[in-house]
Amino acid sequence: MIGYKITYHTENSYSQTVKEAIFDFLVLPADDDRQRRLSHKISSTLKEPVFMYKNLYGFDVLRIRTSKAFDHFEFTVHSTVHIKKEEERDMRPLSIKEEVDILTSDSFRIDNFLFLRKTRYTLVSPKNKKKFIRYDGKKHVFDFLLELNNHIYNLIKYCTLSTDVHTIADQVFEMEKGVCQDYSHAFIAVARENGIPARYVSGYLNQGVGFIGDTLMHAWVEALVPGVGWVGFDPTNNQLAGENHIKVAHGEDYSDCAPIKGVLKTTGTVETKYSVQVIQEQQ
Amino acid sequence: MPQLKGTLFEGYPVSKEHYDEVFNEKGGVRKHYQKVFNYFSKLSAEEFIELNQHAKISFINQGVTFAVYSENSEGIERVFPFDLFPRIITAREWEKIEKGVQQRVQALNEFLWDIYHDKKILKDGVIPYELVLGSKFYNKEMIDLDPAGRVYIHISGTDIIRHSDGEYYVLEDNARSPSGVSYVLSNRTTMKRTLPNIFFHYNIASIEDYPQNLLAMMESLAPEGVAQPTCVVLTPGIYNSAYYEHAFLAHNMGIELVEGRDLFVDRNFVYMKTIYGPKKVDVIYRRIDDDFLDPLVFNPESLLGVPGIMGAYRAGNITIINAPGTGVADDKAVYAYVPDIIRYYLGEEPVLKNVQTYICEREEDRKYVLENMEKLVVKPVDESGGYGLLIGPKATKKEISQYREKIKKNPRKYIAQPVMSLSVHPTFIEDTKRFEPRHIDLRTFFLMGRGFTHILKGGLTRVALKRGSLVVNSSQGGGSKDTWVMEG
Repeated sequence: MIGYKITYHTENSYSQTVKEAIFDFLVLPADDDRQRRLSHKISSTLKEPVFMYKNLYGFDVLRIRTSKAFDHFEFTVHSTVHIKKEEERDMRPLSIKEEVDILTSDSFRIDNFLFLRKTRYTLVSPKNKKKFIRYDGKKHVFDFLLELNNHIYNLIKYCTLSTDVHTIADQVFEMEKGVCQDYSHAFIAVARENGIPARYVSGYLNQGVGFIGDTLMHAWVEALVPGVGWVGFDPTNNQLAGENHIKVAHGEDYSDCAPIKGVLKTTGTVETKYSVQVIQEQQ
Repeated sequence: MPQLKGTLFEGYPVSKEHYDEVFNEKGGVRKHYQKVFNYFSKLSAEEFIELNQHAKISFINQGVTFAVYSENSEGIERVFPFDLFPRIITAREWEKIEKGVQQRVQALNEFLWDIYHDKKILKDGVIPYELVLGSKFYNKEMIDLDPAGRVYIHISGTDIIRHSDGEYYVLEDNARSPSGVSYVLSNRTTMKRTLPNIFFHYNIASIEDYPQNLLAMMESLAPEGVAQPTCVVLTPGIYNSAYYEHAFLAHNMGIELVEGRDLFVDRNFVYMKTIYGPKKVDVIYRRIDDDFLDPLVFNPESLLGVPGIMGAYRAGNITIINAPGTGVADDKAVYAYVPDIIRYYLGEEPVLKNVQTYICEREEDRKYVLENMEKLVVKPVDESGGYGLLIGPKATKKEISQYREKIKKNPRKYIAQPVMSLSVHPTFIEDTKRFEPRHIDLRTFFLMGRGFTHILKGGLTRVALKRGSLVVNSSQGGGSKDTWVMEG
């Protein structure tokens, strides 16, 4: 078991006064089988109560609503999380044939259709699909996914300047540059094209041990391995997601996992900053 | 044989190819139309035109107008064209329509529950799952959500036509906020003001209680623990072409008409801003599309919706009418499977006929379609508004052969139907100052709540005013008639 103290902090300044606003924050570490959220504390300069509710996938969303005017606000969430020690999982409990039979069965495809369908973020043009790798049904799904993780890692060059939150997988394959969000969408596009369910994961990364990334939120992928379940892959680092990955939420793509969404009444522009701190607790 | 000479019906051609609602094949007047026919055949053109003027004034007085927003019209308010000769449906025919509509909507409602929960019908292979889950109307926010009373399609508008074989066929299931009911009610008001005497000769079902039934349906779906729910009508605003209807319904139900900006969500409850402070809202009849409902969840650019309303909905604190995601049920491709959907969930044979639909993905169907394209209308399943369709009888040989290749390449994208002929009804044409046959259809209105159903005994009979035209839409020169359902 590993303990973390996580801080999410955002600061937003508006050129014109905001008269009414509603914000949804999807930044709390998830509380599931793999990790326990022990506590959390929220502070906000808006002086409004924070309301927590569950989204479509059951993840906790923090909501603030205000009808008092403001032109600057800060919002901070401190939380503590315990990640369970990964148990050795057999990633190949079924024969290759059994895996393929499951992947191609209608009921499997119906149950997982959300994570098999193409979305705006995971769309790729036929031209760029040439950079995909194909699953030929002659190896275990897990081995293919490792290969895919490696493929995406090698294909894409880490670059914070060439993409933004609106970049879709097609552009990532075109430019071969991007950040964790782009690596993840690229991985998802290929997995789904090969009939393997894959979902986008947002969260925090403990960067103590030489991982690529910065003091921002991280993104990776979970893919469904027949007979095993959802397995986390981090294509940005060419690793399996493990004890350094603290999950917040998953969804079809980034749009399900955006850390902040808001609707405001204002005519001006916004300047927004955020930062993340992940501190591993001393054993 | 009625004497038509010297009447407004002089020279009326009784059609051989289409079913005429008033005249039988031999030119005689159908029994249930006899009295109305006698009344109109005694009138001169001048008298009729005067009555028509009265009717127009009645609509203007009721405020039933619509504005055409184009560069030249300067937003002039117009009266929806109305024809004084009512469409009459016998009690026996109506019984079948009513049963058929109810059966269809109930089956489609079960279907929606299933595809947003266990997806049994898909796993049993009754409908290809890609067709349903791949529909752009499949709304993932509805997955595993239990709407109040398990009802999705609270208000439906099943469109029905009568084919040349005299049988009724369902043309479309409208499961997303169908419009037109305000015209039904004002048509009746106008009819009673213009021709009060004619009503003494017929025992016609009343429709005036529709707004009360609409409100009762809404109230039946109040969230748990709410005894006296606050219901509202949510409109996109005054520039919407159906704004009159939104205002009409709110007014007649005695409830508030609100826009998105009048509502807000706090702690997963929906409130309306009033001069006395916030008031909690329990049931919303919304006349805005799914995509615009909640900018936090759907289209973030939407200014029409209420940010946070989907969260309140998921929490069961508000009932949204109709439920989001009902568009899958009136999808063109799903239409072909409605008879199977009825059999699957209700174990009954469909009461109303579906237009024969060939699904090109099925080998047998495809073979038939490819061999008979000059007789068929071929439609892509994922397009609407008539885009990309081929009308066989009007297409050239080249167009047909090109289209044939498209089908062969991507069969699952296409369905085909025989050309349906809509029945005709005598309709007064001002240019010729006499009655002429014009094509009509019928939109029904069915309400479903918690342990509550109601069908409006009547409907909107739409008329294609252009000679030979099959297009009944008001935006394309369509008019309407009062629709009478005879009792007993």
